[in-house]
Amino acid sequence: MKQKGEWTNQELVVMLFQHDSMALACLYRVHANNLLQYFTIKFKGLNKDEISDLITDSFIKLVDHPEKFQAGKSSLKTFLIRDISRDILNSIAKKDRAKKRLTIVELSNEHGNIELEEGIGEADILQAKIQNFFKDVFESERDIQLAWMMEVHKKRDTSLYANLLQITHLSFEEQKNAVKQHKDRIQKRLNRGGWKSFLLKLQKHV
Amino acid sequence: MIDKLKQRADYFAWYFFQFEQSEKVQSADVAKLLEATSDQLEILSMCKVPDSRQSDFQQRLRGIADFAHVNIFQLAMLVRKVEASVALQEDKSMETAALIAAREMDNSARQLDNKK
Repeated sequence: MKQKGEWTNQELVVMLFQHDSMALACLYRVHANNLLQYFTIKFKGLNKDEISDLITDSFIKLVDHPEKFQAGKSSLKTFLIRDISRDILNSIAKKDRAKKRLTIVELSNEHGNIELEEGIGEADILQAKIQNFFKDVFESERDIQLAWMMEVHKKRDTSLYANLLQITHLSFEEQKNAVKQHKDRIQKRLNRGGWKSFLLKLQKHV
Repeated sequence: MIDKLKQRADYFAWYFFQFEQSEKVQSADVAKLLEATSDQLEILSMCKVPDSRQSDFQQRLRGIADFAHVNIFQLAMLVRKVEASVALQEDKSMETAALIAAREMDNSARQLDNKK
């Protein structure tokens, strides 16, 4: 058996387009470990198994539909990185939406005797109130998203902030520093805007 | 990866899973049968099974066995065995369906007789 890395990307592409029986196995041997390592570092907060699953899905997708890869446009490795990144970001966004909904319901229950059955409607109102507050305090949509991540979802993962700020090309240390600066700035604006008293008021009204 | 491929009847992973179920053995037993290491078995699981109705089946199977360094004769035997067992199951379910249909027809005829 050829060892890992003994197939060039060119050979792999030929295998894919010829629907070779061994295409998936070769693709896996050449790229799986490197991609897993790359994405585990890039998305530090994500579960390794989850990343591995998404990599697998991407490989199977490519073997089933090799025509999706256009050799002239990018290299095989770049194509895989782009495809897997997109799937990972979609998966994070999906989880965020679910968590956001849950957090709002939890928040409503925490601040009043709202029945869970009725909680969804109340939660929507609460969510709208928070969104309006953020809109008053911040001018940019990105800052509003940062405020949601910090104050409502309580996210701590640097990579998520780095993705939103589009600074993933920086080194991890640089990303950490930049994220911290942004978080401090958002926090100051929130304090000046009266975030704490808004929360207290929200508590009384709910 | 292998778990996902167990649901795809065109991959060896599915064949090994079927074989394990029907023969009530573990994957280590399959590896032993094919004279392979677990790593080689994993690689083989990710390969597509050539169509046994095609004339070049033996040749393509040999290519895969060489690639994964496993025993070609045992691999061919395993593929044939799984395909035979699946065909038998399909025959059985056809037979069962025919029996159910016959019984239902019989019941309807009896109900009609009773009404008369």
